[in-house]
Amino acid sequence: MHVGSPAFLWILLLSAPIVALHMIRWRRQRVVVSTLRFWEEGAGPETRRLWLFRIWDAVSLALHLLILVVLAAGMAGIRIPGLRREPERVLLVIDDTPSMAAEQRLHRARLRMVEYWNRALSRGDRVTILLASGSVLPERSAEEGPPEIALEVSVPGRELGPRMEEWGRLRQFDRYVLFTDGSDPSVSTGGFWTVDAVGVSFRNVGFVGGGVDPASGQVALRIKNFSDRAADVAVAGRRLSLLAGAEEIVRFPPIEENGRVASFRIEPDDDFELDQEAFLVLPSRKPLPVVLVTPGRVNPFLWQALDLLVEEGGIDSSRRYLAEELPATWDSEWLGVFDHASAPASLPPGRYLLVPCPDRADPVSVGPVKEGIRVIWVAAELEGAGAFHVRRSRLFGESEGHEPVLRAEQGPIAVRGRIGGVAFAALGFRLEESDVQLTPLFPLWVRRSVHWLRDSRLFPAQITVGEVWRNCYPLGRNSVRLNGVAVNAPSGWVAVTALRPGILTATGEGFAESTAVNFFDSRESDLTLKIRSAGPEWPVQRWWWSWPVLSFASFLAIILYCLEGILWARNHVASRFDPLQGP
Amino acid sequence: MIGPALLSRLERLQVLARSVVSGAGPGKRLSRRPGRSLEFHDYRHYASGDELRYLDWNVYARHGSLFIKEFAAEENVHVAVVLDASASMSVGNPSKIEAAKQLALALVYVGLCNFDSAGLFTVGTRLEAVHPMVRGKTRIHEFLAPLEAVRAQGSTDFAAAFGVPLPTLRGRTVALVVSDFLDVEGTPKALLALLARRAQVHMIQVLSPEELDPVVGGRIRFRDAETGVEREMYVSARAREGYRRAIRRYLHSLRGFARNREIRFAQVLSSDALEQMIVTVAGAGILERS
Repeated sequence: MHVGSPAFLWILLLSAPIVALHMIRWRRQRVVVSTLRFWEEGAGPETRRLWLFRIWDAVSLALHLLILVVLAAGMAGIRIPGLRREPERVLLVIDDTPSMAAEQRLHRARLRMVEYWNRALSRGDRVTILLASGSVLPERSAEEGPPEIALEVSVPGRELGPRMEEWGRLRQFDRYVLFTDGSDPSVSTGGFWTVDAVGVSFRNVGFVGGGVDPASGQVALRIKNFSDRAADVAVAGRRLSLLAGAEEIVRFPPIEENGRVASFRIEPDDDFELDQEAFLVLPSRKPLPVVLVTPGRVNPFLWQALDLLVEEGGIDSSRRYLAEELPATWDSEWLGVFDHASAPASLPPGRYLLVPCPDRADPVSVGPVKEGIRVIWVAAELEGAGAFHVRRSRLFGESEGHEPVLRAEQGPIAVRGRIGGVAFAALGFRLEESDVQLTPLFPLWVRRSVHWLRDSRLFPAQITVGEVWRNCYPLGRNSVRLNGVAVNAPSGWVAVTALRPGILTATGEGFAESTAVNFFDSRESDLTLKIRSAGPEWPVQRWWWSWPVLSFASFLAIILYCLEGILWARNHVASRFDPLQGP
Repeated sequence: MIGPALLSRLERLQVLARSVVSGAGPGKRLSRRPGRSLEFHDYRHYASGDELRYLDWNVYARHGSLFIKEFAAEENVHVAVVLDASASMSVGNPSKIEAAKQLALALVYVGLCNFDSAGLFTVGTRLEAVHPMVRGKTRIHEFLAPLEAVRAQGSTDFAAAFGVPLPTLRGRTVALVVSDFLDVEGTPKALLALLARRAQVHMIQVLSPEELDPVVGGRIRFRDAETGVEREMYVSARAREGYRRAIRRYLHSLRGFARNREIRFAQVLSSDALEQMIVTVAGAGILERS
């Protein structure tokens, strides 16, 4: 945070009454006398010390203002240039995966990197820049300034994970900063999340933290407007108006029938292509039945989706149908996943999602298929990217204009990854009653690698299905179980049910996306977070000098006021009750 | 300005003229000149045409020579009330000039009530007549408007004001100087100049209570009422005591100066009522029962 931040300036407004008080105190009492002769004769010796009082006036005001500035800087989290920390070795990781191609994210990431370099780095810091594609720029000092980097979206190599691991072993970095299109829920405190959001700012209003308060059982979301203008936000059906730079914590009880669900989005920009929404789903504690329906031919997406379906890992409820063999009755508890190119003209009641096909570029609109869920359209793009927009009218009525929109901009939703020598497979969406989360295709493996490098608490080098890791990312001190690994399944149908959703990861051609779902034990965090915003560091960093300086400043202020009070009282008493003359 | 009760009391007073005066007209005060009062003045040889009733037959029986008894004449004196109208008199609450104007009017009335001729003058850097010498107490109202118009302004230079020939103040004048006498250097010179003109001088000092016992404290910017000079000072209890010592020392020297030159000196406060001021002035011997 810099000195132009609103918080700092607002706190500095307190200087006005301080200066006014000093001006009042400086206002001399004017007395007209017949002659100055006797005063000069009588009060001359005392007046010779008047310069001390004049100096004290200036020093007192300066001290008060200095104390105020220090307090404001401490409260606003401003970095004071003179008080520098020890030099650090910093690793800046720039995500240049394909997801960064949209909306000039890569360009913004670079701008943010430069901004971070100029504001957060201090003299003496040694900085290494690592691109997610594997390129490494030589280490340089922070004084040299950020290098000119020609960033291009590239395809990450499968060996990047071990590569970063190697880097981490060879060079110990004090700080890791990731510039990507997401942020990092890295800290879990007693079931209440705080999110260290360092990344690319794609939106003005962001969800910067949240979780379930174990004491009250309520869901708490901290929302902040990072823009320089006011914005309206709809949070769990409630509309909020946030001023520029303002933040607010919204609390609401979990929705019983759907588990703990919260969602918000940005208004009034309602352009599906450009609108940037965030959606948060707290998973329910119910089993997740999934049905994949394939027309029987090899579809790039479905092929990978089917790869996820394993016989192990608690997925025991699965069905498969050919499109033309769909039964007339449909279990509404199941989710149907269709290749939109093969979507039947009429569907029985149920829940459906259409997935993109890489060979289709025309958007397809589908009418409502069941109350509460309606597939608006599915756009297929090149390289398998697609977008989903699902209108859910159960919580957000159309009349209010609140449409929680889910997007998976970089399909497919099912991908496969390989980290630490072990392949993972994950299904990129989940269904919770009528609440749907499409996990954004987000290069979690980059962040994962960073954390792996930092504290080696992520995934071990070797894992097996069913293994549980404690204190692993992204749940901090909680647990994650690997429920499945990628297998090559034949085409056809497979239905899976994740009774206890563990971690599902997926790897696709050119994509590496994953989502993590934790256990639902009462003592464990059960949040799955999707954050697409970025902004200032959260929580605000406190430096080592903050509390000693603030404490000393407060102590000094108290002493100053006490001294001035004593002087005033003494002078007042001397004026009113002359000891030589009596009261 | 003056109530009827106080006026009647003032009529019973007169300004003290400590020596036999040589007046300018008939009055109630004994003169050096022979006259027709009952007070014996001198003997002289009988001359043809003298009234025989003034012959002192006892002297004739003892010495065989004819002597005529002469009696002293009764004349009046000029009562000049000199009011300090410099800016320093504007200090105080109530201001010294207001108290001084009331007192000056009362003194003029006292002078008019005793067949003396009384006039009112202001002094700052020079002496100016507010109202010339007149006689008769009925003319007191002529003093009201000019006195009301007097404003305290300008600086004080008693030495310059009284150091030049004063056509307005002739000899045989009783000068009642009403001032704060805080012109430390000019006051003795002015009084000596008045005495050199054979005037009888009475000093009536008007001070405000704050000047004798200040209560201000802290950092104060003082401004000299006459010169406009400002000086910032820190006034502590010690500084106030130093001020009191300084002004008491000056007042003591001023009283000593007056005593050595047989000048009656009275000190009144601007916060005093007029009656109290009259009592103080009378107590100092400046006024006496007529």
